Amino acid sequence: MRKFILKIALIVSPVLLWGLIVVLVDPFCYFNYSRINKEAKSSAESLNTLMFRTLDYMKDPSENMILGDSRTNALPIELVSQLTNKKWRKLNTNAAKLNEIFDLFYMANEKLKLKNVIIGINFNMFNEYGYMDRVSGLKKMQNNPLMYVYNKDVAEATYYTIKDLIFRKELKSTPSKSKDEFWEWNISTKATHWYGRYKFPNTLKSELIEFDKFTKKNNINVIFIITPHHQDFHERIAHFGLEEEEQMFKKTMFNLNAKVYDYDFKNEVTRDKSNFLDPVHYNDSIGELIIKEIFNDDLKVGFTK
Amino acid sequence: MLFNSLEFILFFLIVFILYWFVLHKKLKHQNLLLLASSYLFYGWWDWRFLSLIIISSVVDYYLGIKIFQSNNDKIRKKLLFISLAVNLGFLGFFKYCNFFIDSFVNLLAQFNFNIDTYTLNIILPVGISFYTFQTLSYSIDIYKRKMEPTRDAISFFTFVAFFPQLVAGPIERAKNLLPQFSKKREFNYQLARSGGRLVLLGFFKKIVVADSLAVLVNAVYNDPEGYAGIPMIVATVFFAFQIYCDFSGYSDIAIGISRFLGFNLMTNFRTPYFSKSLTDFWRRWHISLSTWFKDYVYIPLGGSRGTSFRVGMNLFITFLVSGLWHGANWTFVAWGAIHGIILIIEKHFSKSVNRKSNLFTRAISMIYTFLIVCFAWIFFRSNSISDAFYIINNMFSDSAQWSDFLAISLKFRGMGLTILDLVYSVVFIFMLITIEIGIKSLKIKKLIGDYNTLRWAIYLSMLFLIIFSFTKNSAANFIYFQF
Repeated sequence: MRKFILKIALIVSPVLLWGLIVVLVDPFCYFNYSRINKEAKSSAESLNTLMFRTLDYMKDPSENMILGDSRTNALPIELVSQLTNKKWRKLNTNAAKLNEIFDLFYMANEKLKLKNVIIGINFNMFNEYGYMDRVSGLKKMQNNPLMYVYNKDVAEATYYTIKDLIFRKELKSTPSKSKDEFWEWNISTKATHWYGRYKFPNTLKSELIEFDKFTKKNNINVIFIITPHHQDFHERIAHFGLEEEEQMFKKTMFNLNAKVYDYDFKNEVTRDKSNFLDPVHYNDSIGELIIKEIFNDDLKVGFTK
Repeated sequence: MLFNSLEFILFFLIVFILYWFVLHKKLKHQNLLLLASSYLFYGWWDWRFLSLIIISSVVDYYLGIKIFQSNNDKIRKKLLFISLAVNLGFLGFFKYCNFFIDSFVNLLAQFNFNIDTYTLNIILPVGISFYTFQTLSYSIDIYKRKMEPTRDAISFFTFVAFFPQLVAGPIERAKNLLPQFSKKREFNYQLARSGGRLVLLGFFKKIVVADSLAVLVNAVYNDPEGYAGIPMIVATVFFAFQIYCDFSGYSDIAIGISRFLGFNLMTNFRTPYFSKSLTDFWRRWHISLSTWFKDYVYIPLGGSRGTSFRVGMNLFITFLVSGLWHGANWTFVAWGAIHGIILIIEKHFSKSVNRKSNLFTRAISMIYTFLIVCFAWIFFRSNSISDAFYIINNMFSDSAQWSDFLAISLKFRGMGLTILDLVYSVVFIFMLITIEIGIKSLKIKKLIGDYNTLRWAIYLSMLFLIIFSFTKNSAANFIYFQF
């Protein structure tokens, strides 16, 4: 029996040791007492933006938040704070799906009751096949540290953080394409991914309406911004024969109680390539323009009902 | 309580400590602990269904003794009938009641007789098909005078409810398991060590492989109209591995933890996807069930005696019943029928491919068997017969696009999976096949056995994969719990 217990202890010990290392490095600042500073953990944010930003948000929640995918990156939070005279926080993440945005909203609202919310949305997110579920895992992680300690992404981030500390190297992601090549890739391949397989999302539509009712009932002000795409990309919707579906999406949006601002149509912003980093990501100046237009109630480019 | 849950690990740890360190001096105390923990384990799902196990155990315990004591054939038959009626009555009511009512109503509707019926809201007790078959074999074996009944009620009750194999087998024969409850148990290091390996392998199969494959399989099979073409082929192949890993993983864990407690359960799977014919497949897949059906259905029907038509019928009926055993749905009956028909064809027309056949012939035979098995799995996994036919009709509908990577990758959108998840799933299947080959091959076994470092590296890699997969995929039920 002793030999058996010893062997079990032997096989379990590396697992426990690994757990200890993760707790000490704490790449996503879950425990918040790690000696390693946050800057050294940049690899964690690039490896799993959703986890990093959610855990970060949960430690310092705010009544006012910006949600969305990478297309809300360029919305300047300082400007929003300045114009509204309130503290805002962003909880946007790369490639976030609409169902995940709602999940994050409810999760944040449970932590601290929300008052104002800005959500970046686009027609491509309104697709039955645009579905992922990464938030339920995060919720479990919030309640169970073991789920964090033995998570695959946390393991990877721990490894890179240690590597960065030892070799003083940061995880670099060098683009493999030039800007023009990347632009073309977006127009051809990415657009095909987004619009090539489309089904009107009845479930998502119900979730959206449910969300709208909930926010109205709880006096939470919601602003939806339909983020702009360059017109070359926007035209791909027609190539896939989805104009009618796009109209249905916008109709659904404008029927909500929430305020909706549309920037994704042919206008002076979407016509000019220089306003975009790539066909779907507008640059900081456009982000500023959108925020100023909305909060100064001075729409020149955008459209609302 | 699922094996793949933290609560089970805690539960088993407590049982293990009490069993070997506190109650090890008296066998009766150990058995009482096993009985109490088995009832706790089962009651964790729904304590109300404990009454079914207890009634079934009481009935078969007393009937077993009475059948054995009686010399009057008529009385013995009557007593056996009572045992069959009680056990099959429970099974029939809880598992098949609504199915037969619905099927009857649908049949009448075909002839324009529409009747209103009241279907009961019956919950299927977990594992009822497994322990019912276990107790049935006990009564039948005593009736056939193949064994004597036990007079030790605690041993018998524990045999029926033994928690490692209670809800999904292996379906043990009383002759093998029951005597083990009366034997003094000493901790056996070799047995426990082999058990530990099986537990590790079982968790690897279930948590790493089966649960990873389940995402795609569920997406496609729960919405077949959303995924024409190649995703259907991938989902079917994935399901073949999912169900194997899910079920054999459970069996491995059950056998493994039984060994920790000093028990030896029967082997339930022997690398079935290396089978060279469907006949061979059934010697390797769910062995405890296939031998049960052979002994208690096929042979009593006449077995291999009689005309070839008679033998074929016996085989076909056995597989139809086997299909129905898996679930109250025509899809399972169709699955059983396909196996039955192909086995009849094999029996009459094909030569078995033996070990002496060349590698090419063996490989072709394995592929043939795997394809047949996959085809039958379509019915097994589909939610309805019409879904199964829809999948069969559409699984090659996009063959013209197979060279267009972008078009193919688009078809997998909406499953909640990334490309990397799909790649991992395929890698896990290859890992599984490598492990199975390693287990089969004595040479590889010896090589790994000789190198301690390599062996431990394999164990640790598996353990880490299990842990990382466990935190990723939520603890999923075992498929066979529903049967």
